[in-house]
Amino acid sequence: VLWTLLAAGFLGSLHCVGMCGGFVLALDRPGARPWRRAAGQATFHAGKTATYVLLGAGAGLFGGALVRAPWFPAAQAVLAVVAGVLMVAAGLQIAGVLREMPLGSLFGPSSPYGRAFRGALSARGAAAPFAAGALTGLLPCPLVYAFLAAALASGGLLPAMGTMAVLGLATVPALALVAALGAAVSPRARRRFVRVAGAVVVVLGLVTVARGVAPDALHAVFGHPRVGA
Amino acid sequence: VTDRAARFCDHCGLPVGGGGHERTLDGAPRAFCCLGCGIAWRLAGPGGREGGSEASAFLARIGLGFVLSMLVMVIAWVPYLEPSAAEDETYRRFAPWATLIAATPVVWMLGGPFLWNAAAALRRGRLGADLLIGLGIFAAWAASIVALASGRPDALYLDTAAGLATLVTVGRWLEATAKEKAARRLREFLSDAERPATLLRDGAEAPVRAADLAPGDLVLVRPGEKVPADGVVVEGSALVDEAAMTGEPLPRAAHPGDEVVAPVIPTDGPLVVRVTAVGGGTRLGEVARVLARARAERSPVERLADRVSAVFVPGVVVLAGLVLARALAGGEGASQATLRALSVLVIACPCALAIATPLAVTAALGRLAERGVLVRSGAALAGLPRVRAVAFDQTGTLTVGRPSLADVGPTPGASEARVLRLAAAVEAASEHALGRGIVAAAAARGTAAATARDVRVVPGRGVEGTVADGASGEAVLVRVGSRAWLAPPGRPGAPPVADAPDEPASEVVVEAGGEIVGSLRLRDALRPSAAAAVAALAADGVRSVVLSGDSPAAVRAAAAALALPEAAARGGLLPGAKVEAVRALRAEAGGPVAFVGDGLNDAPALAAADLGIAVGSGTDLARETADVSLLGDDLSRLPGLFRAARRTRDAVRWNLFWAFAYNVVGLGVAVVTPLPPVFAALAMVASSVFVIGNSARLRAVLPDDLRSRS
Repeated sequence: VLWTLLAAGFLGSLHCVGMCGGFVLALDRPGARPWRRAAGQATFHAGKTATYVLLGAGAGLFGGALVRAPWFPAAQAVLAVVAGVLMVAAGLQIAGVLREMPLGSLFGPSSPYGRAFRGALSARGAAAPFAAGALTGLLPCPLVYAFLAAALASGGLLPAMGTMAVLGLATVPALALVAALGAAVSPRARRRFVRVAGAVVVVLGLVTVARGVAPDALHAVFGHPRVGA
Repeated sequence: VTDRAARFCDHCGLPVGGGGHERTLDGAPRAFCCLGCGIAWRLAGPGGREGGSEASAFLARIGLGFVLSMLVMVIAWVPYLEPSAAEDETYRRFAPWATLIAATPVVWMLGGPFLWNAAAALRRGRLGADLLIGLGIFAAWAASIVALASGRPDALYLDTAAGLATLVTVGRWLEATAKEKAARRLREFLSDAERPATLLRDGAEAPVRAADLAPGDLVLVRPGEKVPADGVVVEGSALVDEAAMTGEPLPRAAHPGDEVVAPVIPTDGPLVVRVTAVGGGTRLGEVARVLARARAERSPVERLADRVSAVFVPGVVVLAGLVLARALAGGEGASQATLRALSVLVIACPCALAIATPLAVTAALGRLAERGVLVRSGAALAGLPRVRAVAFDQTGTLTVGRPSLADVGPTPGASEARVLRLAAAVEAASEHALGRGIVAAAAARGTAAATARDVRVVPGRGVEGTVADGASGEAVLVRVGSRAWLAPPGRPGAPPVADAPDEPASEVVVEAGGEIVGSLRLRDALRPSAAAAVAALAADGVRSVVLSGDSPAAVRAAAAALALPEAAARGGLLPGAKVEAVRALRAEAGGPVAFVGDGLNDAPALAAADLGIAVGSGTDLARETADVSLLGDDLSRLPGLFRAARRTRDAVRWNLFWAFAYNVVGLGVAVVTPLPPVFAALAMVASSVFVIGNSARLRAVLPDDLRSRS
């Protein structure tokens, strides 16, 4: 399951290349020494991953509390179904079949978010790429939703944080190679990869739903129901 | 709807597809493959980037600190959040290292500046809050490393280290932005060198910059323009407004041969001036030099947090040393003993210390700004309650700064109303200060309005025009102007010279149909709010003194009107003498002195005083120099400012008390027994919550202080 997630993350990140690649390029200081540029990129990804892990902690705390709640014995199964449905929806959004929720106004250039983001992009100092990365991690993105759903279903703080850390790491290669990839992979080809990623997420979602409905049948195939632990 | 499948995302270049959306942004239709791309395009796209300011660099650091501190806390507090997870073998093995990796950048990037500042201060022999904070952050970090190295993952203070560094940086950021905001609102001071000037060369006009002028050049100064450099009038006559230089509201007549200095303004006619001094050689340049010297001499106000810390730090360090010595003597291992000593330093650092002052001060500065009182810095606010005496400039500060009609002197046979009516009729078209005072007085007294025709300004002398006079409505030529023009010595019918020459008053003579009908005297009256402000200050134990360039008798009269003793009136002072008077007053009052003024000539005194307060129409340079700017001219806000400053000081003291209280208790415990790290974290949260609450309360009660209690 860990590898499936990693693969979905990597394929999905071909989408991120287009979207967040702009930020990566905006943060890049072409005149600086190579190691400084690399450090800036690494800091950006560290910030993004940190946000993901914090989001994961929230999802994990919530899921874990439900799973352990004595008044909710079926929590594990219900969580799996809910998370699975969310993952299917997110997968369809990634593939471009389903429309996303209209959250754009929350993130406009004059919103507090937008101002903070532009401040971080233009600020000097080593902390700026980190802050920009941390804010990027909050952007609405179906891939993030899919992983958050998986984190929720994991039913524990640590596996949830682990799941989101995987997302952060999985998107690094594509974004790190953004310039090279942008040239090598045509938009249509990227679109196809992203479709595949969406399909993988949909399948994962269906598996999660199935696990909630009939845990024993899938146990043999996918092993322990905890993801990423 | 266009064929979406054939379109490409405007941000990332992917085909838009079925899930995409379209919007009109910046006046053009855009298509995006997803929501994120739409947001990203607007954030990073054209016009998305602005210059990197100091505040944004601070915010980026706070962002890093906040996210990583949260991460450290979540990982460190797993045993409390989800006890079952704490048993996990992976967690037990990796969590300490994960927190160390996440906390270390926060400690160095956010905590580092405090330690470097403290080191710099220490070299100058000063102990301050920075040292206490830097010690706390780095002691927590070092203790955690010692604990990790000696296999004691239960003694990690990394959540405290990261949280502390983030919170204190928030405090610094609050301070920096408050200062920046005040400075931005005051930054209207134009560079004099960039001011345009009109050079006359062989009779032709050429636009140049004031900086490019040289002595000997001829410049043309049109009415309303500022004289670009010091010089001598060679052609033309005009009433010049010297308020910017002297604070004097009554315009002075300048004729060929008279000196004019930058940046006075001719009001009623053009002047041709031969430049005698430029740049640093001008009177303005001289004032700027005096200012720079005065500023350099002024000692910075020491902050309360620093004074408390200066006592606290040595005590804490000694205590930590004692704990170390006792632990070593008691047979504890070196690492264990170090850990104990470091934990004393950690618990001694009141995290709320760094936000205790800025939170209260920011709240106060915000409230004051809402009332048009701009305080430049927290240090200025902290200095206000210590002020023992306030020195006021007279003209434009205590007085309205605008001539108003004092009395009308008709010649025998003419009535007051007639004199005022005729004068107001011709002055209605005039722009200068005396004319406005006459027109306002006529309106206030209900004098029947008359209209003048063919009004002509006689530069440097007065105004003339034709007015329908008397019951018959016969049109007569009316002239209103200086005594020198209309009533030269020896002219019959000249009104008598006023018998109170000490009073700062201006006189115009009124002539109708070739006959003098009377004279008008205008005086710069005291502001209605001045006496109440002086009385309220006295009630609060702050004495007031009037320092002025006006004649001693006039200043004595003003002091008497304010119910001040004669000793409090010091007139006839040149700008340099005002600086001396401020210093003398400081010695006399035995404490800090505030100076309240408005003119350019007050700038040196504003800078020399412990606190400079610019009021009213204060000139740019005066505002630039002052610690406090009162927008508008209501002096009744002055006592309120002092009250607000005292209340803020009290709030800061309470904040500091609570900031230290938790930690002093913790300190006592830490000396006796090893303290669980979570106690340090809880003390941090508890004292911060109190400080935030107390500052919010201050924000709520301040408006009452600012309302005048007259």
